[in-house]
Amino acid sequence: MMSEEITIEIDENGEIFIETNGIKGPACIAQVEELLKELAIVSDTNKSDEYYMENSTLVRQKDMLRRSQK
Amino acid sequence: MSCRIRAKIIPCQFFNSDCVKMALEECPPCPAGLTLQSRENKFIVDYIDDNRAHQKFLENFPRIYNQKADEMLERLRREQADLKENSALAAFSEEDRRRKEIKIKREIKRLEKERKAEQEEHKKEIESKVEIMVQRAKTAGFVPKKELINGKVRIQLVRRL
Repeated sequence: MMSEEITIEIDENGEIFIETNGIKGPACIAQVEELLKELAIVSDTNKSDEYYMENSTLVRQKDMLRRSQK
Repeated sequence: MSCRIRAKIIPCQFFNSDCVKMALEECPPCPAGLTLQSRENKFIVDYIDDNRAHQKFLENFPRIYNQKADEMLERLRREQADLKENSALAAFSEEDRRRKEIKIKREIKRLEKERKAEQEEHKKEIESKVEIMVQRAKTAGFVPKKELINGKVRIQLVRRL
């Protein structure tokens, strides 16, 4: 089953590091912004190749990876 | 990995009016008009919207404030040491010297207490904001797993599709 994952790390000074997995395109940033809204300010955003993928491409690629692991 | 984001929970409460005044003099004002409100002997940034124009002010003000508070404590500690050691201050009568020493000692104690309370308050602010994040994630259908690793809070959010 596919899943979307967000890992959030917060240190004692309030510095936050967030990494997302399996959330396609701009939805990834929108989702994180929704969580942080009015609570924290974003200082840096780093997008990976997965960010630029269409949903179908992402599903296809993950499916291929799963099959190759079997 | 889809994306990596760095962010910061900004402290919104400041206790020392002198440091607030000094920091405001040095910090460029918020172009969107964000200001500090004085309430219950504290100075509070009412950060109620996500206007990007606030960002610089929210980043700069706490940094400058902390710098001013550190400098103020440092100056007082230096004065305290000077009183004890510097022979140039021999011009003071013993009574004046003792009075000044007590005054500085009290001021340092007050500032240290204030800073400690302020840091505790910031810690509480961070905890409550983290809790709000977790609640928002639950509402969005994520299952959260929270743990403490090397002094950092780590929250793993998973949503099955």
